[in-house]
Amino acid sequence: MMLIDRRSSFLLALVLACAAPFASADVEHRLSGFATLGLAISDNPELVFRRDVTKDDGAYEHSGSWKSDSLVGLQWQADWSPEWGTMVQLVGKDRFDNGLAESVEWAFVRYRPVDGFDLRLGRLGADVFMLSEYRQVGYAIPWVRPPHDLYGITSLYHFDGADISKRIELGNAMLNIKAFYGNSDEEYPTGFNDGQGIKIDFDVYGASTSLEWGYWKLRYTYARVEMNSDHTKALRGGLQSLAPWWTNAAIYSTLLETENKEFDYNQIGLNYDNNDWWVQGEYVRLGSELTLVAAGQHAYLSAGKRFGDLGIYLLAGYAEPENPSITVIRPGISFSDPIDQQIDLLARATERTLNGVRIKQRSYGIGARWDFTPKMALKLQLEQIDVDKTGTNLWLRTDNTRPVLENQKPVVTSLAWDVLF
Amino acid sequence: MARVMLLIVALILSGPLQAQILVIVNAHNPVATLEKKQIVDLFMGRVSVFPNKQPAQTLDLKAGTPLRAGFYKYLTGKNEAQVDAYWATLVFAGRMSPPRQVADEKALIQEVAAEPAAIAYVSKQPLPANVKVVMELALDE
Repeated sequence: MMLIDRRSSFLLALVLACAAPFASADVEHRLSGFATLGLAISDNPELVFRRDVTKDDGAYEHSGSWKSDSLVGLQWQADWSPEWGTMVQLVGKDRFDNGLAESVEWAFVRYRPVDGFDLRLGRLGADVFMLSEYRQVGYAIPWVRPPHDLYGITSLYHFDGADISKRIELGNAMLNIKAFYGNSDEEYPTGFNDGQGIKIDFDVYGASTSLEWGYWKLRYTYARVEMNSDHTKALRGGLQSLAPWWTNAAIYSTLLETENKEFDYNQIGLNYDNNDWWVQGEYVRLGSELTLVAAGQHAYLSAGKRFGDLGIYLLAGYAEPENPSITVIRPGISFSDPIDQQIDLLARATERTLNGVRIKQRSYGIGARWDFTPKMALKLQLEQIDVDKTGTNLWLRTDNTRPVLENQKPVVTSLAWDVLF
Repeated sequence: MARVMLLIVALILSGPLQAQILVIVNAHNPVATLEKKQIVDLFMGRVSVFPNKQPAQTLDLKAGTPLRAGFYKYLTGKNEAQVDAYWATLVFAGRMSPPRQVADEKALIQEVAAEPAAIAYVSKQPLPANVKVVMELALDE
């Protein structure tokens, strides 16, 4: 485990190289940060609650988790001139792959030739959903964490590349248009709660547009991801070797391919906030050529009211896979061992791999936020999540050796203390 | 007695006391006046330049100052926590640099006097010659 990899050193060198010519007294340096101390408690014996699919651990029955939501972020921002600026943000949290390189969430150089036009190069936060760019800043969002049914699927926190954005004034409305392109190469947990990970390399590109007028904000994003890495080689090799006895093996082998396959997001979001009442809803349709990224629909709707420093809110969400779960069909005739044993073993592994990525759940929640002192908030949130037995991928299993045979209804209680500094 | 009643009625009708806030820039700044929307755009990180396209440096008081709370409430209808949460969405997404926070009004005036791009807000008071007022706000106390 290298402490810092080549890519991160390059990013930091880029930031410093751009900064060097401007070493003068007029430079504005700012240090700022954010932190959350969170506790998540789940009451389900079968499923382990996790914040999103990048987490390899979470809240078990009878044991709350501090690691799910707690984090600390530090940011250094410098404006070297009106045109040139740099920013580096580090976030320390419980990661599957913990190292200094992984904790660099942002590290970029920004060029602003005219106000309202920005070009950024370096490591950038993925801006695919409404809260993506600041989803780790608890203080900036009304809930304890971004809504689970939608944000739980987000494995992409940042990429290395470029983005370009333009602000257009339309009378009293403001239109923002942005395009981005980059690459990501990080390790993720397999989701089987076994400490195993896979290094996933992909390219991502897309565009987003948002319109703000009065109390309203409307946003649409399209993003496309292309996988560069092959993650099912061993399993496909096994299936192909059984093809003479098992005709369907070749079909399953094709289904499992990941390299050069693509998936995409269509996101639409709406926010209304008149400082007294607020409503926010978001819908994402995930289309996918990969069976390892489950196509589906994800949405939430939340509404809240503020009473001075205290706010209360309701939250509902759902996640629905596009395709039915797959039952792997074994050959109609039986062969002598070890062929039969191998077919059985690979059929089970294939089924587990293909269905393990499915997400099917509904959630209902209520919560409160108290801004008890400047730049600090306390939150309490209660949710019941109805998890279908065929769609548990946002959760880990307490016991990996047994499948989940019944639908589950975990109640998750969350506390958070959010700080800005 | 009737006089006292009249006096009380007159006091009630005269309405709440008004606090005056001055939005100030450097005296060398060519900008003469600003409208409310332009000040909102500057202090809410929507633009980084004055209407004449010259770079602007917004200056702010520390969080928890009554004048700061009154200023943002008047401009945006948001309380301080909402303003800070809103700014966090811009700052930690690397979109905009927040207004630089200064300890007190005296320091604000000094900074504006020294910095041609600066814009700040102070309570109504006599000002030195090297700063000028671009807008006056009347807040209900």
